[in-house]
Amino acid sequence: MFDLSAHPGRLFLFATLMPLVPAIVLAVGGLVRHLTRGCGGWQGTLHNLLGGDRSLPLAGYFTVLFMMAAAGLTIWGAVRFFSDDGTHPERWAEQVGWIDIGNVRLGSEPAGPSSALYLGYRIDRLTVLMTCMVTGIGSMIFLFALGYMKDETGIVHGRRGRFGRFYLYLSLFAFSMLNLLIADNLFQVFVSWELVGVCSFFLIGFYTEKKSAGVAANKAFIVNRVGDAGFLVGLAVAFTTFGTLNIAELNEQFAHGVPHGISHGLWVLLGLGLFCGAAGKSAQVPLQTWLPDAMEGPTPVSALIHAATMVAAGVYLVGRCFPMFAPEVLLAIAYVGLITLFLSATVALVATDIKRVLAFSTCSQLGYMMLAIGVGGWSAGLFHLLTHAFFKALLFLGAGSVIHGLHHEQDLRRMGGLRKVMPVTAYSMLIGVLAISGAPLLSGWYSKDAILADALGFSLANPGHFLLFFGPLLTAGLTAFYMFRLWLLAFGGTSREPDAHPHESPAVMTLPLVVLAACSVAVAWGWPVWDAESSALGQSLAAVAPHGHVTNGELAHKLAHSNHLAAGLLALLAAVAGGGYAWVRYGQRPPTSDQLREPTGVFANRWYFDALYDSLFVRRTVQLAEFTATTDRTSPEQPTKRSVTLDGLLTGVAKLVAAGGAELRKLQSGRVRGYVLAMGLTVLILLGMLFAVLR
Amino acid sequence: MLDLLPTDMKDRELDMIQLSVLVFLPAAFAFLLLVVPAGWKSLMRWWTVFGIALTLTLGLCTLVDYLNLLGRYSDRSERTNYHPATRLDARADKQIAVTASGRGEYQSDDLVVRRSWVPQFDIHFALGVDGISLSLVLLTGVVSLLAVVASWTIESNLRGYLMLILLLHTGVNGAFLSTDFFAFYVFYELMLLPMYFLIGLWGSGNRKGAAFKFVLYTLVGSLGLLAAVIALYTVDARDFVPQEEVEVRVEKIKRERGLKDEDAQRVAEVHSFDISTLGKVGRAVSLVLSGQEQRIQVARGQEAGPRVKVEGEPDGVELFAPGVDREEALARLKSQPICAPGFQYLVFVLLFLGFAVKLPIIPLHSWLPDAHVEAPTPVSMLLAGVLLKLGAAYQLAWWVGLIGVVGIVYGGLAAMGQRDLKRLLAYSSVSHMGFVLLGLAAWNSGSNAEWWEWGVNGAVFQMLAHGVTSAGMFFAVGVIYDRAHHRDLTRLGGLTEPMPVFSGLSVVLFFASMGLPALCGFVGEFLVMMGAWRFCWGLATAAILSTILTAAYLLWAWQRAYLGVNPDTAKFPDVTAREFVVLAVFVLLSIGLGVMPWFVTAWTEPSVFAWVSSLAVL
Repeated sequence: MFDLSAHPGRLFLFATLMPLVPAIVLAVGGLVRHLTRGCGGWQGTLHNLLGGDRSLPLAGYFTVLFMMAAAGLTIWGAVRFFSDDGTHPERWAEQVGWIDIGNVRLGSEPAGPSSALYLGYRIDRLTVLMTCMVTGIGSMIFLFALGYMKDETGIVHGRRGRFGRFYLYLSLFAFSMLNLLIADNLFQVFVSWELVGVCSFFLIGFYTEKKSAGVAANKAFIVNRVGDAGFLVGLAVAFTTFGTLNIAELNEQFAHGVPHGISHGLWVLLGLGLFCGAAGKSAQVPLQTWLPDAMEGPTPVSALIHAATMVAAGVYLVGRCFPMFAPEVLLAIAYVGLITLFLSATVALVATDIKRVLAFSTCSQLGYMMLAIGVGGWSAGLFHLLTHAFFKALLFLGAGSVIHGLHHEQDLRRMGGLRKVMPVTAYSMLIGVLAISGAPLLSGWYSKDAILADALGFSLANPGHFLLFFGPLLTAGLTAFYMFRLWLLAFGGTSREPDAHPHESPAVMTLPLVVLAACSVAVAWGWPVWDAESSALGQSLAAVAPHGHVTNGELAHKLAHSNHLAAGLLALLAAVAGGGYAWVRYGQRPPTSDQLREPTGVFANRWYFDALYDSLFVRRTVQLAEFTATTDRTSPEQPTKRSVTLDGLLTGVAKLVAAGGAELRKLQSGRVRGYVLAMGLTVLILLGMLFAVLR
Repeated sequence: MLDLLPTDMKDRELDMIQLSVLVFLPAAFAFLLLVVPAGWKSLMRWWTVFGIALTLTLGLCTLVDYLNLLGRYSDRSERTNYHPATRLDARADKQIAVTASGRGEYQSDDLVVRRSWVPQFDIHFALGVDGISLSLVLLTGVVSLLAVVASWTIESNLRGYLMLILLLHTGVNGAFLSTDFFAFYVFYELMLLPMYFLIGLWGSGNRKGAAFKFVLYTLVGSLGLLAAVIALYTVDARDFVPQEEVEVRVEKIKRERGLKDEDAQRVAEVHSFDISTLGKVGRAVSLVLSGQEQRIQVARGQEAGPRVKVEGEPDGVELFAPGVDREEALARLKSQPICAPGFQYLVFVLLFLGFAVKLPIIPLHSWLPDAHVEAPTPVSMLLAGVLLKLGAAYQLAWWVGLIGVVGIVYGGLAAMGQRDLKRLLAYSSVSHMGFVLLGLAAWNSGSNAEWWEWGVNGAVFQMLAHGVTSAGMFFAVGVIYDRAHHRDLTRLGGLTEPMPVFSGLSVVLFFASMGLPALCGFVGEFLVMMGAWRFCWGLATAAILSTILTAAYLLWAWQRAYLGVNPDTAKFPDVTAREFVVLAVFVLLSIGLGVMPWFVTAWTEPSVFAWVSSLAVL
């Protein structure tokens, strides 16, 4: 079990299991605490030991401790991994059977291609980097939430134990997310995929007293289920064709062109299915509608789940399965990314809720990553995933700090001038804004440059797809604009709401901000720092980039390398233009609240996606369900006006029999005359028949 | 275990005692309830709990015996639980030979019993255990136990209620364990009566109508079943049973009619209600009908070892009993009416009717939402087994699969349109049972047979998982009803606030029913989807897409019943200790089955494999 020299990969397994401990302890502890409430004797003692009804953040301390332990384990594992000579990759992977179906056969019956589902882990460089990122950012956010959720330790809205429940969901989420990252097979990825989805469901709907929270949670889960259905199709194709779901084995099958036993159509279906799952999780068009609504959850949740980690899982999956995608599918991924990054950025231009701006920006940045992978920039896409996680977590926590300081005010139009009262929040957020806009020497610069270089290379190699470069370039300008707009509206100028009494957040909240700000600056550095291509993180990923079936991939790669500087300069120009325009609009003369009207138009309505889906799918399905229910039967609580129901038809048969019986019963009237008549007629008829036969 | 007993006990057939007790112990407890004085209600309840717990314990002991049986043939190097001699068919055949000849002692520990019951009509009292039936028996035990605990507050006519629950238990166990078609039918009908009274006397609302409907539907189904059983009984199965049985017949004919030996040999017929024998007849007929009669072979007994495959020759299927002349037997088989396609279809339709009502399948599901089945009426696997063993199912497999998928989607849509929470759950049962049907129907032969095995395994698991989640959720609805006195989703809401423990436990059941990974509902659905993909990807895709619908209606119901703020429900007390225990067991089972499905598949899979491999060769 603890034989780490033979299996150093188990460090990551332990790190994964670490957050499960608080999840189980909190669930059982909360249950026992509730059941023993009001008891005397030893049960009362137990109740008090578990915290009683005092408003203590015990659960939070406990969970943070374990999360930090997980972070420590992953860092230890990372040190072991990078000092490993790499000669024994089997030391970093293990698997056990989960369900065996006929993998034992007798005599002449051979074991088939598919016999079992396995669970297992495989640690490679991507996994190491991702787990370090998740546990590191996770620890910071768990810490931050200690301050942010402090109000929930008491009895809020008549409910006890909300604080503990919050940390229960968070730790369960951390376990599922880490499990997703270390999984060596798609089945396990799918299991974790759904588990993170359900944690996200609980956390979005955390404020159960708000109807909008429940609706948003349902929307998130159901939209994700649409993606997951596609994922299942992909799984079914892969499993029934190759008899395995092991990612490494599947990638091996596709390493040299199209493998035997799979037609081109099925290959495309496999890719589209997997990408459909990824698009659901990563909020790509057309499944992007849930992410902005997910901001109903507490802000630390938005930072951890809906910005840094879970939504990145889709990109991670696409990166993992990169060799499995057909050229057409990769192109589709690139274009979906393009559409998403542009549409979301335009919506972010006019959004007024501070968290929504960040949510749309997350969609847009995820679009960048998808586009990068689609054009063959595997390392660029995943590089951006890692850097983005840091500065987006920072931005969201900054927003959380603002919301906390302003007593749950989220509207940008009612903020302003906060840099004076909340300096730590303001300037750490400014670093985040600079990083996401692509300011040189900050982490976002390195990764965004890499993406634009790959996009440029691809468009040069395939001139028909020039939009794949110009779209992201234009959006880089938009990004700078809306991010600076956000910062200037919140922190610049003077307060628009004189009655608000903002205050700087406590140290437990500002410390994570500072740490994340430092990471946002330095996480991508290499030597020399001023060379965009020299990032240590980026090069580390580029060294293990797998081969994919990208159209003209070799040429695109070469062109990307030679045009890196040009792409970077263009992007910088766009960002400066966007940021400068934001300064002109919102910085020079800060607008008063009268000038900031409710936005209207296509951007403010999110390109009408929600309205379209609502009228096209949601209402139709509900109508169809009502129709089915009322066609099936009529019931006391739902009296139907329909004259024929399915139940009625079958009951009708019974009624027919009953009515026939009632009619026939009249024959047995008890009157002798009638009987004699019937008897006489019968005899006559029988005689007649006899006569007819005889003749 | 045998060695511990005194030697004279060894001559008795221990598993006869064991299996009969497993079936009839609840009934015995029911009759002993009669002597309890009317006022001693607590004693009655505890007595019933004790009886069911005892039955459950015996079931667990039988499980140990069954695992021993599987392991007895296991070769350490091969680590196999799949020895052909452990299959239910093989064990049943051996018992037929023993009972027919009257020679030799009863084998005491093969978990198959067979005694003559009505000799004039070849009806036997025959019980047998395999992995599938055993897991369903255990499920029944757990759910019945919890059902009694759940109905602790029932005061009116308590004795009758408990007796009926116990009798129902006997009926269900008997139906699962019967290996004789007629005995099965008797137990099947035995389930009907207690259910009728339970719904009609202790139900709610329009209970009399519901009970009446339940009986009518089920009776129509069972009449179809009876007709099919009788039709099958008319088949002469003499070449499929051990030849000792035929010898006995011949001797009898010679003695009674004074015929010469060869005449007696010629006219002797063997009719049987034995399910494994009829299954063999069905498979042989299916081969004849599909023009592959040359593949029917004579079995060579178990000592001969596995058949060696000859290149170029089609795979043989050993169906005729050892010692039969192949040509004669084939001619005899082909001259029978069962070899006519019309006869086949008729039997199929009749059986399907019986099966479809109970499953229930669209459009025969109508009794279910009315009956609000609280006690589990899981599909009788035996029936499904026999149904698909009949040759006609081969041609109709696709249609059966389609009906399954239609059931999934229709049930889901109808559930979404409900306002009564309990009725919603009833429709979701219709939807979940569609997965069972799809998994069973995902027929694949040859090298693809393994995918069918995935489907059938999924179907078995889905039955167990559905038994757990639906029973748990019906109980949860009962808890709500006790407090609110209605189940109208439009008026409920806000339960998380006053009832945190209850909400926490029910959310697990909701998600288990939805098929969330790591909970029990997922395993069965996933296996069925994978199995169905090779069978027909269109049907599989429809089943996959239906998971969206399932999530939608369950989450919507969750939101309407539990979330939000509602002054009407704000003062509800949380679960009592009794309610907590019942829910907690269901929750633990949901999690346990979902995380460790191998615990169940380890012993169901050999039986599924036997079942699939005997059919997939066709």
